[in-house]
Amino acid sequence: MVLRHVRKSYGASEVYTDLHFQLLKGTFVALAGPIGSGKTTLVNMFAGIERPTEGTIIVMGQDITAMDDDALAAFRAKTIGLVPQVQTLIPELTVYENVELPLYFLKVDRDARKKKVDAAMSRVGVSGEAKRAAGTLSVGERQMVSFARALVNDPPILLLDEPTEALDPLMSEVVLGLLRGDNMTEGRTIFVTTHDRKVSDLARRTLRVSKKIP
Amino acid sequence: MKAGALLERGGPVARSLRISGSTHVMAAAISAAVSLNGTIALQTLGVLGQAAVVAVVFLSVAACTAAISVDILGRSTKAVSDLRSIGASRWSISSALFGSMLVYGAAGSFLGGVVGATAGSALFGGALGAQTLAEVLAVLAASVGAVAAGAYAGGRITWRS
Repeated sequence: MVLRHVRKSYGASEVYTDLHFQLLKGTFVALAGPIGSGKTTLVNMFAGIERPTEGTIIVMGQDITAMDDDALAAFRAKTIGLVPQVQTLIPELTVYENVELPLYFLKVDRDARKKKVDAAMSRVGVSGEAKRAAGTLSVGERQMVSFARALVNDPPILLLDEPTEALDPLMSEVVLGLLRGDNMTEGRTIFVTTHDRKVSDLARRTLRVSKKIP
Repeated sequence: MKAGALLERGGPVARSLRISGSTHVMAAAISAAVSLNGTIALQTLGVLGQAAVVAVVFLSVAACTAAISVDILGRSTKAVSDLRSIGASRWSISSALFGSMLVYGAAGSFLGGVVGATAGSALFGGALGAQTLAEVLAVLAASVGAVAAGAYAGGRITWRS
């Protein structure tokens, strides 16, 4: 993933002015910094959810800043597993259906969907909650389901925005174990924003944003 | 998107958008009422009047369906944004709405057309023949076409905004 001369502003508020950044395949990089310093903005730009005001973002060799919204959505479904800071599970759907959704949009057939969903839920330990409505889950449980959903399509890139923030110590350990295993055994590229020292200690490199956006 | 998914009324996308039984009833009831009145009117009018009625049927149903579509997508902005963040295309979201509107709108139109033809025949004393069948089909085509056009237009309006 490469950012070239990226500028991002919200009105008069400049978040990034001329950002250059390269994340090599298979690396695990953490981004630390105070609340409001633009960490989530960077994750969202990598995921193509937010567009830079200026500059280019290349992900897996493709210029995502040149893609239209639908092409970006399709690219995201195939390439990126995202665990956002703000919960994006659909409360009306069950845990199983929430985890299944990315595969549904990729038109994966029903049998293959079931195998992948079962595997992803088992991996993060939420299989027992499969039939529960996502709206009835605790904050920590929702985060774990988001994790299962991010992994269900086995994406080459995983973007995590404060993944352990809402978790109790036990659940945090599960996430840390997953991150350790993912990066070491599957060669996945991981970019994570965090305040959690345990998470940044796992990363090969930790970047720090020091300035809060005015 | 496969036809099965298009008609998957209780599918995950439709439920994410909170397309409920009430939405289905509204789409069916509007199409049924307009088709019923349209079919009765056709039996009393000449060719020009009939053309005007078919146009009114089309415009009324299309406007109502577009309004329902805009309302559903407008109320579900968070769900739409959440679905987009995990790879949903505009079409995969719109088609869930489009499928629901089309299935229930067509059912309502059919019911309204049949009841309208029967009621018109009873009111005006005409026989239920080929002429009536043609009138029902004209109203049905206008109504179903209007549901499709309205749902599509509603989606376009929402995505543009």
